[in-house]
Amino acid sequence: MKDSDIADLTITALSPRIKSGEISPVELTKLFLERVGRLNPGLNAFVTVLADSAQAEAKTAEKEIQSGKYRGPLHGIPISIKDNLATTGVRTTGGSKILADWKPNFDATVVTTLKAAGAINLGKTNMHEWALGGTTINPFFGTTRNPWDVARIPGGSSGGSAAAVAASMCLASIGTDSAGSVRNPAAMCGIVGLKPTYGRVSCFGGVPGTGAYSTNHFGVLTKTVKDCALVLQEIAGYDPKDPLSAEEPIDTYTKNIGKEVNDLKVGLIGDYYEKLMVGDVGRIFATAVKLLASLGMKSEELSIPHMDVIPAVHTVVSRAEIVSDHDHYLRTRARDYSPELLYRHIQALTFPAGSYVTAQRVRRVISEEFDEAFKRADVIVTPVSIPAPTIEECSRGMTAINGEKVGLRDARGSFWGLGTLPFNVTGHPAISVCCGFSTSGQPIGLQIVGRPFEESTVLQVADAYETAAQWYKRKPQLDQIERSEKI
Amino acid sequence: MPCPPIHSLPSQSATEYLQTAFNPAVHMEEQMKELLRKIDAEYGFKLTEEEMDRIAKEAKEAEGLFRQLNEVDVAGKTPLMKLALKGTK
Repeated sequence: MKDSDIADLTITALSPRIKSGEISPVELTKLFLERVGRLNPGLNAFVTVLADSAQAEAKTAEKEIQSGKYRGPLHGIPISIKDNLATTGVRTTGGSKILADWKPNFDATVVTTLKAAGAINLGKTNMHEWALGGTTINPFFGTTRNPWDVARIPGGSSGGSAAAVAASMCLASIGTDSAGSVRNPAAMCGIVGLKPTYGRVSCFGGVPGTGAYSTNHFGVLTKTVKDCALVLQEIAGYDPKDPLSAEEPIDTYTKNIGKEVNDLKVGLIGDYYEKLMVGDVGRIFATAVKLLASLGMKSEELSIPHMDVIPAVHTVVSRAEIVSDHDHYLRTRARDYSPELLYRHIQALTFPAGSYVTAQRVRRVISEEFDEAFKRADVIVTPVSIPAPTIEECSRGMTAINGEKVGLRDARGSFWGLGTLPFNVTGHPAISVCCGFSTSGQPIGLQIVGRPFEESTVLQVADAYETAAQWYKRKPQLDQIERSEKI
Repeated sequence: MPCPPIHSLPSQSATEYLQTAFNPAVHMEEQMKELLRKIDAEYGFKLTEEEMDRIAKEAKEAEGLFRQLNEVDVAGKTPLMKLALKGTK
């Protein structure tokens, strides 16, 4: 195998070849590490590269496979981990100055399960400061660049994970998603990003303060839907270490991959998402819905009466919960936050306690409205977000899409979080899959949302769409990045 | 806010003063800044006036969110603290 083969590799295609001994995990890891060495100076996707431990893990994997102890489809597969998931002896910064030198003495549960599955951890990926933003413009660890256009952000907060997968610097990454932090960067980088049902994947070992208790999820970023199902299979399940994890039995997440979808019904939420469809997004989304219809899926417009209130619920709940986690550092190291984040935390300290409770009560109203909606549809589809803005536009807080001016932030957070955060509030499983490219050549994501714990249905529809649309075959041109010096 | 004697307002006309003193927006902004001063003292941030103004301005922008929440009828609804989700099919 050579480097030029890597861009087209998937876990699904690679696993049988690793199992049969045709491909050596040691050689594969070496190739990926060389690629990370070439591309990372230009993309800044990884904040810590674990070359030595990755090579050691690969040697162990190779020996085990040679002796007939094949562990499963992730055995020998190079992956990465977002830098807010605890890794034993490896610095875990949470994208913050405060934790810049923290080396935990324990692993997050997902890290433990991935190690047990034989995956090779190539390193820790860059993220937005404390995972509290959607750009991955990080004042302490640098800006991660979008592999499709290095002048643009990769999205966030799991921007390093998305850039690493999109540039084939690893085959999967684990991110966290409290408002869209897996799905938005996946959409902006043209890959697959899954936020499972709330509680489906243990959040034990996540850096406190990098996601709100009520809305945080650990998720998966991969190149294809089937790869996503394979990774979810390993990390899903109840964890006694996480009191918020769900006891619901796990499913076989590949069971519906490749199945037809003509007996399934699509729900659409008009008004709320129409306001978010600027530029090419509306046209591309409509084409994606037509494609689903051509696969035999019927569609129905759904009514969620309090849809417009969801961002308010999210803002109040998540910011009140998060600032509680930051109390110690706000008292002791306040000026080690970026000014923007410090001000946001201070503002959250002014929230009336009653508003938090009201928001949680409104959350129940909204959750019940979705329960009703899901009686009439198997999945809901929406666009994910606008195409990735440039880094310069993010600093101005304004972008222009096909001449249309769009403010990138307001009191509710980033503009592109508005498409994804509803399902952090409700906890439904939601995936982003590439559904086309803007006129400026930037990927756009389609969000497919399912009933609680019905990830298999979400993956089924996403796979059917992906197979029919074939967007996953388009790859970013990385020649310029490889030739560039550190950005 | 107690009304100060009129002779203590040399730079303001009575009309200007009344507009300020009884304008709810200005009143709320002052309340917010007072709250921020208390938080500043408790946490030891040492915020500058400029920072205080900025946070107060952002807080004002967020007021609409609270209004939206308060407009929802939550009678009989308990807070949704832990999601115990079950399929609804």
